[in-house]
Amino acid sequence: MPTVTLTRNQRALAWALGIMALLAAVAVTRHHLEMMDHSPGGHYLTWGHAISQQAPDYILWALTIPLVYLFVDRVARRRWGWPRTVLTHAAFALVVALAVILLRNGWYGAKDFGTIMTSILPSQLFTYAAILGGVLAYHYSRVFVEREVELADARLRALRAQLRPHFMFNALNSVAMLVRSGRGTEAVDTIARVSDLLRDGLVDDDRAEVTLEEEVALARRYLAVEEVRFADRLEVQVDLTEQAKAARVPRLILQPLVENAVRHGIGARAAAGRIGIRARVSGRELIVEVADDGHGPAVLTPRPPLLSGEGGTQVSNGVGLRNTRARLEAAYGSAARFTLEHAPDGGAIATLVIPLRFDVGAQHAAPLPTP
Amino acid sequence: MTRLRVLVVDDEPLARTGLSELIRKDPELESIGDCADGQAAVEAIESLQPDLVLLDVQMPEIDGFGVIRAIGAERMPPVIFVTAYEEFALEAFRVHALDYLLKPFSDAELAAALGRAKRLIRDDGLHQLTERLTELVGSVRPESKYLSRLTVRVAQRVQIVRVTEIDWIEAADYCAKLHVAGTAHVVRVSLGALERLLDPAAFVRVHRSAIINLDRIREILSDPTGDGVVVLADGTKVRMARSRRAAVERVLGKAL
Repeated sequence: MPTVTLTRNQRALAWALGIMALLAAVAVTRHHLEMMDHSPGGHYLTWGHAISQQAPDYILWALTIPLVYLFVDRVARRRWGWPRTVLTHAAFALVVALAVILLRNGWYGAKDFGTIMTSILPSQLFTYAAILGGVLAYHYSRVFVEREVELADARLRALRAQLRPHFMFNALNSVAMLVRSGRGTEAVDTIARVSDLLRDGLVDDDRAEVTLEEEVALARRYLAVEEVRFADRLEVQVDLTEQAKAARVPRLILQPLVENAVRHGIGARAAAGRIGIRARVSGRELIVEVADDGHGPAVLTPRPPLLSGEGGTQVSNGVGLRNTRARLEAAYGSAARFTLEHAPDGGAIATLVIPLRFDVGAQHAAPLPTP
Repeated sequence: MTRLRVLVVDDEPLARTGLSELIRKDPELESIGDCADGQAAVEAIESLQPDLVLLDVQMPEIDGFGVIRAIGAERMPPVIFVTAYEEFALEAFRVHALDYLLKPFSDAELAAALGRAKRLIRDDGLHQLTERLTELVGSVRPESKYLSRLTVRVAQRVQIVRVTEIDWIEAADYCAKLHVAGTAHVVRVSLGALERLLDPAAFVRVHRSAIINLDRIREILSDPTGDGVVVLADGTKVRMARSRRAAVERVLGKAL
């Protein structure tokens, strides 16, 4: 679980054990009181006996909680369909329940197979279901919080990029120079573009996902200002298929990639450069590429061997793009991929592969496969 | 009165041409060219010897400080730094009392900065400036990255040469000849400037007129007088001066 720190796990375990201890205390007390009721001869059970009857069960189940949590997390990351997820869960439930039964046999004495199957297994499965419910609730609340945090983070970073003093002042300088050379129309255009960008940064948009078309429009507004700054040195090409335009992507996922392309592809050299944003749908996946024809991504470690990807050399963790990976992970688990590679003809290609999803409205609008 | 010859260096086309345009409007100034990157700036400063340089701080490859480092503070003409927003640079300029312009600047701000530069040049306050520049280059980002690529002109094309591809560099008049896999490219940058731009852990000057890539050394033959010959991987023999011997030993970490 890459996003979970050890201390967080330990805290979660402490909580789980605490809750189980509380439940165990209640059960022990109940057991004690029940025994008092049912023993008219005044045959009282001691607290010690009550504890020894109840505690092992609760301790055993408490110990399974981290295991169940890990399992839930792993399964959630796989993004399987319902049938497979349910089957996997059922199998795991059986395994855990049987393991618990075996272990408690050691304490309570072995029961015959029939008793186990008819009375003990169902009751243990019931306990498992209760634990699973709790764990799922905890898991999804955390996934939700993580996504919120990632999005808030991305918004802040994008805002900072747009308001980055160096960028803003250079853009304003471009305007000043356009005015001085009497190119009023272009100066006004640039002011409008800079304003668009500022508005993008200031607008209060809480959506976690937008359509790719909206996302690319945002990136283009940023690039539009860069185009003025770099004039003959920057050329932007956008190529999206109709289907890809309607696909949903995490909001602001492209901004850091585009910025990176400008900084490393254009900003870091004197010759003219091209930036390409391409997207297409392949099967059940959306593939988005941001390419520049600069010097290629910085390779901090010796160039790794050809691993994968479309004709390029895969590059080890691009510095500064770790957040992109983290956001994809939070939103899609292992169903999404992100690579930064050397392009075959120089330059770099950042590739996002994310599960294809459409807005409810857009889904109808998108061309449906003919039956 | 002769007009002051001004060079403009900025990587953004609008900023560069706009500034040159403004320079041309000043009857006391003459715009002698503009450069889009650090290497071009080094070439132009060495060959044109301008009286004043308007120097953008942030540029690809060799930035404004890299240009000064390459030329050498003592040979650097008076300079007005032009910057959008580089906190560390502004701090450095203030500390060393060097003039700078903040983008975007008004005509009046530019005129004031140019006025100060003109007075400085006429009153011959240049040695002061040299001192401040020396301090500046010494204080600003000593860890600043070294040159990784050079552009060379091959016929009508501009070609990129990665410094790791360079076998050795030979001085040729005021230019330098880069030997890259059997081909020689001439760049109009002095050997001294190149030496200051290249990573000293990867390149070493073995002679007044030669720098070699340490990775290409196959063997070093020395004779009793102390002079020697460095044999490169492709068999090229480059003379090593006695005076450079200690420097070569230092980077190799071995006594020869």
